[in-house]
Amino acid sequence: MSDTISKSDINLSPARQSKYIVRQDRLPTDPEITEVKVQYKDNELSFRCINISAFGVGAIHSERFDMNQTDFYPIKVIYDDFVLIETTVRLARLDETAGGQTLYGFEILGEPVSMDALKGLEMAMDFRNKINDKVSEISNVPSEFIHEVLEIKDFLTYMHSELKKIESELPTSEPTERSEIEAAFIQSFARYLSHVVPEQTEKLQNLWDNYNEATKLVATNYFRTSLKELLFSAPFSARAYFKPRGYAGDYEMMNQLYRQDIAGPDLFARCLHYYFVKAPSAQAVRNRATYMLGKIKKLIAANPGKKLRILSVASGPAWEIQSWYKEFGNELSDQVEFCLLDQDEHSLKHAQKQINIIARSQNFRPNVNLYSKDIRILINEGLKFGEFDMIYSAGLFDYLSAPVARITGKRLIKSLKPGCDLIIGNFNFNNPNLPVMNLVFDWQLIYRSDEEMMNIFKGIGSNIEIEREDLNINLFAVIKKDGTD
Amino acid sequence: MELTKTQDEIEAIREQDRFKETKAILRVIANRMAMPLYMLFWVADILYVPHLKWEFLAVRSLIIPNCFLVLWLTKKAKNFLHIQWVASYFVITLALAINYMIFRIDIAETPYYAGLNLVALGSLSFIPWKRYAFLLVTGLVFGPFYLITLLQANNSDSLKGIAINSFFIGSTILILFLIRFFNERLRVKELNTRLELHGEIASRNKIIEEKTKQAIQLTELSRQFSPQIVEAIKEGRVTLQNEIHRSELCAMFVDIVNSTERLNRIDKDDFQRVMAEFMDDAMKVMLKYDITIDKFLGDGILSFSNDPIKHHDYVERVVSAALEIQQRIRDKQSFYEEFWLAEFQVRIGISKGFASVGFYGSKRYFHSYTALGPVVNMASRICDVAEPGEVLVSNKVKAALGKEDDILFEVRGKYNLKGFENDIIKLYKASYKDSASKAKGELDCPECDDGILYVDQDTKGIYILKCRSCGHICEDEEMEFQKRAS
Repeated sequence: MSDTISKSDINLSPARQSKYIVRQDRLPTDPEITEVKVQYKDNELSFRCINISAFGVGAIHSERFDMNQTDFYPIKVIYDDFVLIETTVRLARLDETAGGQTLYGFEILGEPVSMDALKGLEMAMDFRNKINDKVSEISNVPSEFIHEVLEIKDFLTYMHSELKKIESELPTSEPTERSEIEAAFIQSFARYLSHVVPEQTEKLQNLWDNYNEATKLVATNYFRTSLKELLFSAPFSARAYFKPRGYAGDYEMMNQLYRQDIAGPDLFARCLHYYFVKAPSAQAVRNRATYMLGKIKKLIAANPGKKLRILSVASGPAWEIQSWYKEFGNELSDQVEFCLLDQDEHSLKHAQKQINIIARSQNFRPNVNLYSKDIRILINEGLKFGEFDMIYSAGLFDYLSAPVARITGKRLIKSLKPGCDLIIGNFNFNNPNLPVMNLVFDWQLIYRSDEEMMNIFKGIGSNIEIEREDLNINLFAVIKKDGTD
Repeated sequence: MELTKTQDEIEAIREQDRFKETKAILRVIANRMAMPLYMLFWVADILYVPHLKWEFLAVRSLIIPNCFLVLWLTKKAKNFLHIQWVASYFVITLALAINYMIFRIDIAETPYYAGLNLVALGSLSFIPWKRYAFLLVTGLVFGPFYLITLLQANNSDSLKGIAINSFFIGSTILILFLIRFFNERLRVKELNTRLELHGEIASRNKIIEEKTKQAIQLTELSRQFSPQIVEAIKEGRVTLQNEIHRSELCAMFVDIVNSTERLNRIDKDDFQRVMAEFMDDAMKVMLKYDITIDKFLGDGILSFSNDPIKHHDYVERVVSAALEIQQRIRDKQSFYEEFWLAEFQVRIGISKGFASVGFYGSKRYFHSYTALGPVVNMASRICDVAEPGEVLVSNKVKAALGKEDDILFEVRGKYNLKGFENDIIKLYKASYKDSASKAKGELDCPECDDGILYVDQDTKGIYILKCRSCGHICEDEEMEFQKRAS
């Protein structure tokens, strides 16, 4: 098994190709590692095996032997030192390949070869290739990146084992006492993590930023493969990464951020989960809901007694609307019609259910309309739900490229009453959790500066102002439509 | 076709195989083997028991009608259970004759037991018995022998002889059982391999069939829909509703002026060339605007927009397409004059309203995505009253477009169209304000002439604008282009 085999060594010469129908049940084998040993005139000849089926074996050899179709030959098919088949064959056909080799088609005599063994061979080959691919992929990851990843892994592994010990020492007889101790511990430890994690992940992000696209891909894969069991034990990170609703930032993730509870199968997972939901980017999400709630309150206060229509685009759980109803549902629910638009029907149903719970407990009738629409339809068809006194969107434009964002902005502003505001939220670069979001959660957003926001929406309204929430992580373009209401 | 078989199904297939095998074996052993062999062994009777030779010949002769009976029963057998009983009957009757001879010989250690062994060898090893039948037949072949010989045994030598015979009989049964057992295992294994192979081939055939069906369907669809719609259907983003549904459409009817007269005047090849050029241009423009081509009617084309893909600007798309078709004809007038030998002109009528849309016609022959309703007829009637080179639209079309900066609408008057006698319809002539071709819109591809941008998602889940015709992805810098366009 010395020379490597080229494709032309295996393929029939073009003139002969049309003569034969290729059996589809053949399993192609790697001729480099699959050998056919044929007992021929007291000699054991070594052929390179190119395929196997239940009824035959295809092999090539540089020499042409004078074999007869009427003679029987004992053979062994050896795959990587493992004797896969030991049987008797007869020569069925003999041909020249395009590479000048001789192709031997042997028919297996007697019982056909078990397909199970062939399947095993196929699986072994796939597995071998998979391992080779993995090894070659890892060899492409820069060593300094591997070093940083291993440092994080060491840190997390140590943390995991120590937290296990601590968990086992917590009192089990008094559940209340235990949960109080645990909650205090997690809250304190999460604060420690908020200092350590950004520092470590930032180093990785800096390295990652300087790589080309191919290296970025293998480096990210390496990072996630090495740390997935540790990182994805936390419910928040697992949901962000695995995206059970098909996209990051679904309503349940938003709920986790708003609830800020402690969740996870063990103390380690609970610490990580709590750290993630308390991180600055998570606080920024809560702040943007507070910001939108403020805008809603301001609009209603400025228009006492006037019937208002407010649209939330990509509404998610509509936390700000839930909060508004909790505060004002009893007295002002008749004055405002909230329209929620989201591509995820489940998200809309969840928001409706939550609002209905509030309404039942306070005994009022909410005026909420739900619209399930994809961004593509929004762009193609525009909005056809009448005109609104305010339209806002937080958590959508971070996923839109500038041209799409501009068109979407234009479609939305068309549905505003003159003189009313369109408020568009977008994460900006000032996000300390950017590396975690990119590398750990695979939560890819488009981060934009004030200037970029201004540039995108320039000219679609009479005036644009850029506002921000307390942490300066989320920006809001407040676009006023021409005319007076 | 079902691709995987359960154990019960495999057992059923094997039983069918057993039925066929047993039938084939019985045809041989009840015909070519048993009769001559039985008669041949009469020679042994002559030598060993000459005093019983005629009686034994009579007994042996009974095998002939018995064989014919078995052959007849074999022919009549309907399933494996039947044929197994026929085989059991045959083997037991053969053994019965031998047992009778052993009884008549009256010597416990008689070598005639070998006859039973031959019967057992010939039948138990070949016929694929069920295990219970195997045991039953074995019992009924050798059971009477032991009963007879043990009753006949009168001294220790006789018992010794029976014991020796039993050794050979036992060995024969054991060997036969093992042969049967291993043979059956091999057969089942072979059957599994065969079924797996059939399953694999069937699975591949099914995939090929499905892929071919899909390819044919998509080829058919590509005659009616733009590449972006076909792609959307292929990716499952657009579903063609199987049932006929109501849809608000903008219909366009394009008619070539004086085509019948030209057909008689100019060379047939020239006529074909002009038609091909025009149809190619018109279709390109329509598909560019995602307009569905309903049908070709002689020298006319009927098309509509807003189904299967909804567009907020579906009326604008049709009017823009109509104006672009007229513009293309003007641009290529020198080509047309060379072959058409006159000014090549089309008249276009556009209307807006509701229609029933869906796949009409026989599934096998004329199965196309078609719109039926007054809106379609009206487009045709408006086309009838349009002047050559004109795009004439109904008042509803004009109203839907509202204030279009670059399109001019001139009132052509109020019409009482055929088929709409009770309605007075105001028609407008549409044209570009500056007569120049329209500037590119915000969803027109900046890189190619025929492309329209659509929203797609990249590998990171980011929504982007992409051209289906040339694949161009609109970058952030191209915002400037959008701003100019708007």
